[in-house]
Amino acid sequence: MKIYYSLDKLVAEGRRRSASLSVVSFDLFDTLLIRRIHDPDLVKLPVARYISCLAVQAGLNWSWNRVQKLRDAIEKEHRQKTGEQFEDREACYPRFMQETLAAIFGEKMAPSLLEQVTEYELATESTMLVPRTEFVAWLKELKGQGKRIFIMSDIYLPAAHLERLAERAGLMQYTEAVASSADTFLAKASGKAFPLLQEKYGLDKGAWLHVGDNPISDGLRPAEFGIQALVLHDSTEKWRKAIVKRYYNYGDGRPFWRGRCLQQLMMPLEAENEARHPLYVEGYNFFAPLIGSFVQRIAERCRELKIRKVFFFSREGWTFKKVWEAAVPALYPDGQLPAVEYLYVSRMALAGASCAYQGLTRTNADIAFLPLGNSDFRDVCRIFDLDYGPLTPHLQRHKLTPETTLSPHHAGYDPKNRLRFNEMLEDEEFQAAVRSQTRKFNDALQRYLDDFGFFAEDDAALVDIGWLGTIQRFLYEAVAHREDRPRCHGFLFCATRGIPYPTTPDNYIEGVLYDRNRFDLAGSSILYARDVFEEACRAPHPTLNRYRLTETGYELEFRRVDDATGQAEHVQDRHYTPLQEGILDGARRYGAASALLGYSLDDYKPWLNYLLTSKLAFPGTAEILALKHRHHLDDFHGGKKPLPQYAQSQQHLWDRSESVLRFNPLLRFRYFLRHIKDRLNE
Amino acid sequence: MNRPVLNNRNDLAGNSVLRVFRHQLLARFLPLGNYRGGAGLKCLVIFSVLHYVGRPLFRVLVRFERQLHCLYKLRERFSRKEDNKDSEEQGE
Repeated sequence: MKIYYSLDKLVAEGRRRSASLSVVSFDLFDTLLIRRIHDPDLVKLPVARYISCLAVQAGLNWSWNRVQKLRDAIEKEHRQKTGEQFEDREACYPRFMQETLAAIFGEKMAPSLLEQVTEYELATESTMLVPRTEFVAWLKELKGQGKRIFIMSDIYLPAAHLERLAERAGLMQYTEAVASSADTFLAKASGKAFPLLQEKYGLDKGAWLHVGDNPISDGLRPAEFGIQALVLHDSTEKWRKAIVKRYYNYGDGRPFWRGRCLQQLMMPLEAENEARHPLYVEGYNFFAPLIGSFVQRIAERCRELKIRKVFFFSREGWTFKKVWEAAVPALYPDGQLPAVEYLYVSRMALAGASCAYQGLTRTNADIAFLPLGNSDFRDVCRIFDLDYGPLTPHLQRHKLTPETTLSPHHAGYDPKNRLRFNEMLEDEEFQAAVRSQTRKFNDALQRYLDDFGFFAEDDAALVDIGWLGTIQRFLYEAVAHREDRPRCHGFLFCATRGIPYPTTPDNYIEGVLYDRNRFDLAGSSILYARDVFEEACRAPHPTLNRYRLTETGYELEFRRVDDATGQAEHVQDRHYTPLQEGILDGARRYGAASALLGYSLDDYKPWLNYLLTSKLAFPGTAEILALKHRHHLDDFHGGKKPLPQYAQSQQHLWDRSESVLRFNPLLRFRYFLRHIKDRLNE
Repeated sequence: MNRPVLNNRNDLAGNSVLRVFRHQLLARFLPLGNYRGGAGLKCLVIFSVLHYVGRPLFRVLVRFERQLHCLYKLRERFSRKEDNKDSEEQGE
């Protein structure tokens, strides 16, 4: 028996020896496969949570701690019983789990329950296992040389289960058979597994090499039997696990580390960890945990509120929906999740439709003048899809023209004109004309929503990136006249509430990562780079301009893509492709890691606060240059230039030049002090 | 330039433990947000050592694992004794 402290050296020695050998057997766990987590027993916790959920569904009151305690007790009992007959105190998963489930569910136990729980346990175990690259390459060579390859393991999972794990890890193509101590209760630890395997497969022990990580089971015992043995004591692995262990343990006492532990478990290992585009890395390490915890929170709220359908608003909802599909099923394996739908909406398309019954309200007109590029009635008409020709007589009656400046941010502004404009909004004739012009958009919208089952639900979760909740506001106003409208529970990535939202029990918004209604300085760092988040999550399709009525129903009219703006969006899409890939790959790992930890957004929030502040308020210059979007389309924003004092006041940290970012040492500090002041003044 | 998501120090690419350290030091002088108790100086020092010196350190330590294990056991026994003593003093 020889102990190796480096995998490369062990594999080199194995290659040298294998020329004269015909059989090579490997230990599975911590040899061929490594675990992302330091303690294999942690995989049992999500299984206990899963069983607890199933028990609750069956009307039984079993907390996950109680389930886990029962499983441990039954497993221990099984081991003791085995110890009476055999040298090895082994247990067999299907037997003790069957007994555990029977004790919990009693007569309510479905025949397929054991298989269902086993499948979940193996799937969870599988997400935590990674094949070691060097061993896979060596296995390939051994297979090519015609050697007989076996996998041996001392574990409670029977060989059939280990085969499923090895299959998912891509190892079964090289392996002749898998042997587990759970089937025979003859383990490597006592050395009895080796003669058993020799007898069963007619192996020549003089031409047999065993490789594993345990000096007794994989070193001493095979050597005693006359088999050559190589034992791996991999310092790199021990180092990696020592780090994971501390992140996990420190998270218990210091919630700050819980999010960091999550990220450590999300990390790709071995062959998964290949060199990637810098934007992919940002997507994986920065955006994925933020968006993952956002969708996890929405799923939690939907379960609390018994919401059965979630509508993701275009275009940022495209990424949110994909992250949901990648992460949420792993977090809630009991299947009690709402259906999801992607809804084509936009502020521009809904603005017109929102006027069909209520007319143009003063608040909605104020929203139109929020962007600095909008200055007059023509901008209002552009946003609300109105034709200002037929409305000109109404303007004239109120001593206004389409070109009259109505925004205080532009030259020629006279407050009297804004008062006249507000009076016009109270003019019933003007409102009748607005309603008549926008009715067709609303009718088309209702048909579209009908098609997607919007009115079939009593409660609907509406998901958007932010910021004022304008899309939900317009949508609700457009359908407010209908008796069958659902209660709209809005979940925004970040709610800035620049204009107060008309909150009612039937229609409200809730900022998940940041909400202006809660003082959260770190969370408000999102305000540094809202456009970056919009572009990072945006769907690769053009924005929706309007819903159009057709003879057969309705049609969605998208913005053209052949003009300069459309082409710029296309360039931006291509630029952020690696970023979005990183987000989605990260989301898959987020689901598995968060399910294992059993934490929620509240647990991750301190770390996410750090991520937001560190990356957005105190970013490195190279980070800003890499992450900053190239183009950003905002159709809501008009093209008119505001007065210089307003234009300058809008310059954010992320808009500063490279030289200023690089050579002005106190720049970020000053910006953050201003940020604190703004938040305190809000 | 392309780089892996997990760097060769077993740390997050673009968000190393030293960055966390710097940020937490800054948070002592400037209100940066709510970190629910923060990272803790001891934890930060341990993680900095683990990420930056962990590789050579473990290369040495792994050879003395058995001996170290005995030391850990001894430490555990002492800390358990102290805990029991504290409990007795508190009348628990």
